Amino acid sequence: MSTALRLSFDLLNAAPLLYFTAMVLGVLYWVRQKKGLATAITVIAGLALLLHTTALGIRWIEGGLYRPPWTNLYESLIYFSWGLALVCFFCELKFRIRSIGIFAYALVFATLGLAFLTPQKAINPLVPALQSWWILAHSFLAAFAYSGLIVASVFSFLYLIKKGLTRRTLVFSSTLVGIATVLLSGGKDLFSQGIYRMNEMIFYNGVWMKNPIAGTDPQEFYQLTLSMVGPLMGLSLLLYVLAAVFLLMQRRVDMSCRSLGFIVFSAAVLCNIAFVVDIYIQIGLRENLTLASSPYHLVFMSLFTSLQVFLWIVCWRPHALPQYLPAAETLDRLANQLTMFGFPFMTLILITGAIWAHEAWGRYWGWDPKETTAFVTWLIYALYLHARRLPAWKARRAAVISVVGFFSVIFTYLGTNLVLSGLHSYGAQ
Amino acid sequence: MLEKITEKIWNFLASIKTGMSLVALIALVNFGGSFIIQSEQAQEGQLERAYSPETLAFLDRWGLLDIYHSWWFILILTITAVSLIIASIDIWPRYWARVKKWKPKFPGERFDFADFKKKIPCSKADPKRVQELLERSSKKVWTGASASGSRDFFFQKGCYAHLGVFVIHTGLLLILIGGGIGTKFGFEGQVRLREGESSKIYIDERGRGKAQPLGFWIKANDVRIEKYDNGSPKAYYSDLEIIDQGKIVKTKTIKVNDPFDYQGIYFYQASYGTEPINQRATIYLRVRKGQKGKEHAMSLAMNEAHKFPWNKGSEREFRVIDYAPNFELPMEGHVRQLGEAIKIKIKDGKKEEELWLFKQFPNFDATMRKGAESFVLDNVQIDYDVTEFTGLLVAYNPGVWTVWIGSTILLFGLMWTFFAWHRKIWVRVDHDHVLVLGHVLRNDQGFDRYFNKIVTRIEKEIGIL
Repeated sequence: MSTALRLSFDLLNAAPLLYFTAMVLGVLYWVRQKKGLATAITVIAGLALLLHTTALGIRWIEGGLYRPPWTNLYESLIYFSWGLALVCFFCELKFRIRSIGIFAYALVFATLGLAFLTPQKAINPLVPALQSWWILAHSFLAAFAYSGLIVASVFSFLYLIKKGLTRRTLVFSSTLVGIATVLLSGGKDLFSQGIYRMNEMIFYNGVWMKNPIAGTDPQEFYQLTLSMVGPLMGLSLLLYVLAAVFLLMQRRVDMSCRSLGFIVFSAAVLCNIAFVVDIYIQIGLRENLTLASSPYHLVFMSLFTSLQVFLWIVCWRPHALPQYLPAAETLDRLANQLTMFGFPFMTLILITGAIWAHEAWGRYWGWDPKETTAFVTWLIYALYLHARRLPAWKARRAAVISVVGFFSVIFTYLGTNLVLSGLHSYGAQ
Repeated sequence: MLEKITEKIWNFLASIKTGMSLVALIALVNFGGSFIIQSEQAQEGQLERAYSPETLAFLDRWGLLDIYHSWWFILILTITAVSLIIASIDIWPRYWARVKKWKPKFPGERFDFADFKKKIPCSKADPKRVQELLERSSKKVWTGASASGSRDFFFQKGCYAHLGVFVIHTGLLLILIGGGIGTKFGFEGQVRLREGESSKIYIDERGRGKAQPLGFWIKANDVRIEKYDNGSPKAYYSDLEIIDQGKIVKTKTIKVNDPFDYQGIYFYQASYGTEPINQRATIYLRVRKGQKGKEHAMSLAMNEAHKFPWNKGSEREFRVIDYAPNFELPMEGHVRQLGEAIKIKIKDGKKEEELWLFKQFPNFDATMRKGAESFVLDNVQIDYDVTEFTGLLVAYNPGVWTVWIGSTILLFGLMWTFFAWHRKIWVRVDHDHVLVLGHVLRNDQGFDRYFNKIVTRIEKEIGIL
């Protein structure tokens, strides 16, 4: 490994720590709005972004001009987190809103952490399908489209909180997200006595390939026997469903923290955290099995579980949070502006993707799951933009559409390859 | 009555809620569709592996295996396109009025419509100089007067931002039309060529594997693969040649991401592989005279006539005329597999005799036929050469340019709508103050700066600063 490449890895080890610091300071700033704190957040986040950018730059120089640093899973994670950090940092500077950083930097930190755990970090040569100028344009723009829309949706979500959601609505939506989290984490192996299957084939930004750490004995490498995970997942799912049922039965609009629904929901979140932590511990204990066995799966699980923790905090103190947030109008306007930033990029990646597909495969549109889900995302944000023209839909309902869009973006980036992994090989010839 | 119905349908299709419902419906169908394997993308046998026969039959019956070409999905798209057109026509007069027919309403004494207000106290402002100043910002400055005797000025910028939505809709419509043209008049197929082979037909993928004429010959002169040092593929190349009416009209080396076209028909490097050709069998057998004679071992090729070793002068000869890797004997209700077998034809003048020999049963011929000689099949060795083949994707899509043009227009429209902004500025010059009012459609942060710039200019002009 060259010295430059080693430096790039060192920088990428340092950057997540800085993002994490920025995130923690962001939480402090939320409670105590001191000017010095705000400056510190900006400086630290800026420094992290600088290190991140340098590391990416080094990687690009090392790989050569024709091989941009976003052509395999490791690079994809690094690159998309960079895009998100950049958009977020820009928002902070331009709009002077620090509260957004907590969410975005948490996402960046999680993504970089996963990149850190990915074993395949080498600059591997490009397979024929990826040797195209369009990979430069298409994937480059994708980061901005996804980041812009994600940040826009976070603003919409904060707007909804600011507007005052009842605890009941919040807890109920959170249980639904929780049920989705467990189902996506467990898949069809949810009740299989704790055998947590790992994917044999892994998806490397555009190509399916054999798991690089695959050994001769598939039992040893592709299956992780976790005695705790299965039951914990099942219990967590059961508790989420129970909480949802309790909430539906409850007639009163306002509910206290001591109500049965909230307690069961809290227990479900605990179980949820427990099984994810358990998986990480089990992986950490094993030498041969690292995250690469099914990285997307774990990214998904970790992100959704973090979201669940955050939702729990919001549900716990639904009236405490809004007072720390900027004015509702500001959040609404920012959500709109960022959608208007991300939407043209989303359109552009659909178009550049179509041109590339036309050049590589002879059709500009083939209703492939990746194409289809990207198109669905585009449609959802198109709906958002139209909803803003209707007085009755302008505020709350538009924000709800935007929040749905958030899940669509995540699904387009990761879910397509995770949930539909056995069905399609996007990019493979 | 009819008019009423037409009007109702028109209003229904023109409504933004109908449009949004249709978009939501398309999104839902797409989301659901991404979970079902579509026959278009499915690899050989993938559907059968993933679904049980009952599920497969169910999915097929409801057109769920080819959602995106099903009549109901195309119907939804068509209704959406019609709704798009009608909605655009319906809102056009209102939007056009904002741009062209618009006449400024000078405010009376209520200013709550304005997002930005600035009152500059000043007693000696010259309306003429203010007008001149404003004319430097905009070509057209409307003038008016209020009841209190003040002089009012108005100008606007970026009013064409309102028309961006029509550009977007036109682009989308073109993309939909282009898609329709491609589906109706285009084709997609495959040509598989070995090195040196040529073809004038392609296998139509949409027409369930039917062979269709290309109208010219395509020939693969060379097919090769290039590898990285670690053995993973770096590039696949095919040297292609188009032969039209006996003449070579075009040659090109194509690879993945670098196709070529002839008469609008595109050829793409889709797959590469090797396969055996020139298969030759060498048969090893033993033959003896009668059932007890001395054994002679022989090795021979297919269809090669041989005399019997004990009587080379005779007319009697034999040859191997068929080979079965696994001979199948139909029995009642099932098939019995008898392993490797060859068919031998014995010729003696005009007399001909045929028999099968089985590797599994060495005594078969000696015990069953009891002829003038008996054979034992020892082994069959198959030799072959390897040739490379290229799998080409053939596509003709006359709608593709419509789609590209539509995409460009769509992008242009989005930029126009999102980044142009309609700004309105009113200036009232009264006897003791100058009042500046501003109103903007979107982007109020940027307008803040714009408004302050205008105010500063006026202040400078009238000598406050």
